[in-house]
Amino acid sequence: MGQDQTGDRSASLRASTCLSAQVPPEVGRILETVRDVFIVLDADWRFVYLNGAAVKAARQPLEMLLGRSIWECFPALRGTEVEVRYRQAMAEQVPVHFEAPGVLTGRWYDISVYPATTGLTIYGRDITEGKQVEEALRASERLLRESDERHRLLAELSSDYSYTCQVDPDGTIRIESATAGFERVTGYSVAELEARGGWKTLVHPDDRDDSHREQRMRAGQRDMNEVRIITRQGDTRWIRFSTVPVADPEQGRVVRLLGAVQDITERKRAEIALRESEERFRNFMDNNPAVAFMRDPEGRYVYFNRTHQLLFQEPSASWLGKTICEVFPAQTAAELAAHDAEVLATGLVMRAEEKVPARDGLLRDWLAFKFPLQDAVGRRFLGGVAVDITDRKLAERALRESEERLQALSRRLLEVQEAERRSFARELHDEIGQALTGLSLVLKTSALAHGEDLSARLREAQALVKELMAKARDLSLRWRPTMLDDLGLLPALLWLIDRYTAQTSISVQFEHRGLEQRFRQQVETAAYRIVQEALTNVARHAGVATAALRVWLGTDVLCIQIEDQGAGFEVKLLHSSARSGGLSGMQERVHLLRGRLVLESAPGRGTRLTAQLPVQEAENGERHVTDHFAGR
Amino acid sequence: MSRTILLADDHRIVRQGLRAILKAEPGLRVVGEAANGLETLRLVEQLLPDVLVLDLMLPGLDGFKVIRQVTRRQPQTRIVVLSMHANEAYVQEAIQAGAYAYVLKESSADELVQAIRAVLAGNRFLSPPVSEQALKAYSERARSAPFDPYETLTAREREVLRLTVEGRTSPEIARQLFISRRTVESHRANMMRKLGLRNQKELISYAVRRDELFAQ
Repeated sequence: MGQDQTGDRSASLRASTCLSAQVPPEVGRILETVRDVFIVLDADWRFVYLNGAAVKAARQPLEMLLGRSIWECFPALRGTEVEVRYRQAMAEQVPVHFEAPGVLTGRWYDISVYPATTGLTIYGRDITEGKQVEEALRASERLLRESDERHRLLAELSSDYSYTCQVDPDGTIRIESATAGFERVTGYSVAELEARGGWKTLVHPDDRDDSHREQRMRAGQRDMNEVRIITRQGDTRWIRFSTVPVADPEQGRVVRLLGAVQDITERKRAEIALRESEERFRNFMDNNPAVAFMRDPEGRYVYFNRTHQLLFQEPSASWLGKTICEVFPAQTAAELAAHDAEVLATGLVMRAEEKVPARDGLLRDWLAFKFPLQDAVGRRFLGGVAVDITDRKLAERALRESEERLQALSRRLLEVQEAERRSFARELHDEIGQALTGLSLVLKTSALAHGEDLSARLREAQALVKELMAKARDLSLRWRPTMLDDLGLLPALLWLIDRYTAQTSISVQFEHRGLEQRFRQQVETAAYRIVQEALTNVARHAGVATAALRVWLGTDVLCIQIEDQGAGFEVKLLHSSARSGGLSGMQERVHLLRGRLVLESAPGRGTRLTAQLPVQEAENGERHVTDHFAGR
Repeated sequence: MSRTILLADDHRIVRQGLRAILKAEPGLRVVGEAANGLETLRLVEQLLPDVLVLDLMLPGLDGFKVIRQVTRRQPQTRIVVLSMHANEAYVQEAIQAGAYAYVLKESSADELVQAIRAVLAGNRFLSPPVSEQALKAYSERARSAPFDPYETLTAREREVLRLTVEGRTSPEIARQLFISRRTVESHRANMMRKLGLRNQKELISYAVRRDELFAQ
């Protein structure tokens, strides 16, 4: 405001006074004291009267207002609903009623405007507080609405449907209502289901017996339960209930059940699938002939299959949580740890042969496949699968050795054959050839002789022939004693011993049992040659005057033992010693018959050689006895 | 009346030599010659000779078998073995089979005639160096000795034997001896084979018998 309007002031004051004069003094006093606003305007919109409340609301002294136009005093009113309504009342000469906020106070007024030809009488009741309450009420309603909505949303999010059940005084439980999800999950509407016979008809027969649960709910306890239902479509679904009983204090019993239901079929299926998968994994692992295990980067066992357990662990001891250092000898653990570390470092699958002792402590060969593993939270593990290849390794080695032996044997066979032929040739030439030359000479001279001379020469020739026969027989026996074929092992051995003692002066104590029978030719020959070779070795190396020979029939085997108390030798050095030639010949003979050869010796403690030759020809290819060389 | 002789040898020259020697002998008559074992048997049955002069090494059926067959089927025919083997084993085998005389091929003609006359008189004849004493000595040597194979066991096998008899199982023995179970079983099998035993029962009774022998 602040404009100079002193020109009109006296006139307005006058007018006000004039109006005041029109109002009875009692009424004027009342108007002054009420909290409502009371204003009178003349036809030119000039203030004629303002009561105290109005002056207070106007925030200007009365004398500044009286006689002046309302639009002039309060330009802020222009264009507002107040102006529209005032002008309407003035123009149409009808009372108007409306609510509006005060331009200066910000308070709300319930305004009634009464027109008259002389102007307007305005009555404004302060309704600010009512408005505030109303607003608060509205806000709270809004909040409530939002809260309900939120709850509904939450309920829908956390459950597939919710329901209420009525509990009859006799304990019967009937579904009262359910949210839309009910039909989605079960395939039935509540009414349809009740018509079919109620909720229980829906539950899977195996899960139907839950009377104790109902009992508890009727007693006022909350319940949570998982059951299978069979839907209208015939599917089996898993659902989970959360039920809250509601009691009626007046009746003193539970009258209603409120519940939320979640369809957990997918989760259940996943669980079952996981369980089945786990079970399958275990079955495959536990019934696998290979050992399987998992270790963490520190070498701690986190998993092993049953095969692993059976092969490595004592039945009572569990290795879970133990490190390889705790369960294996240091050297083994170091080897395993190095391989594990390499796999974890490179992230690559490793194929390695490892020597690891089994439960009995014996080192075995394993072919191991090791690979890195990672779990859901990123922890790293070492996985491994290993098979026992000890037998395969042994078989491979045996095969290799056998091949090598076979090669050495055939090489030696050729050498021996040549040597024998050389020896035969020399002996025939030296022994027989010389005697025949002598005989030829005698016969030549006897052709010229007569009488007594002739007789003498023929006698000489006959002596030479006799000598020749003896030599031929001797040679023949030396190469192969005929009695071995004609009469068997015992006569041949007796002849051999006689001859041996005669040549070497070593006496042989011969004990035998069960040799009255004949054995197959290979066995008799092998036995004879083994004794011959062993006795030759005694003569060459032992330095003794006596040797013992024992030949006897055991269980399906012919046993031969040659023992002396002589020099002996270090069995470990056998293969590099001069004896190995003769010995490997014996070994070959024994192996060919699938027998067993045992050599016991020690320096200064004599030598004992024992051979076992199976009497029957082995039916399968497996050798049931093996060689064994030992100190004594 | 002269005694009849059948000659059996696979060499014609030998048969001719023998026939020549015997032709000069009064009272002896060679009635036939055979060149192999089967022919010998056939002729013995056909000619029923008093004496068969037989080479041990005949083709087809060997001399020992011929001796056994003739002794069984025609015991009246006495057999004189003619052999190049002076070895007592041959002599004993021939005598045991049923031969009456054993003459070495290198002996003189006189010895053969001597042998034939001896068998005709019902006596045995052995041509030197073969002798009854040598034969007896050989029989001694060839006889089985009461021989206990326990001595032939290795130290390990003896331990396994002892523990087995005490009732220990293979795993127990393996633990005690610090060897593998397989090795124990191998030792045990060898030990049983050497002792000529087939099962646990025989093993126990063997051990008991041995203990008794020791106690005496």
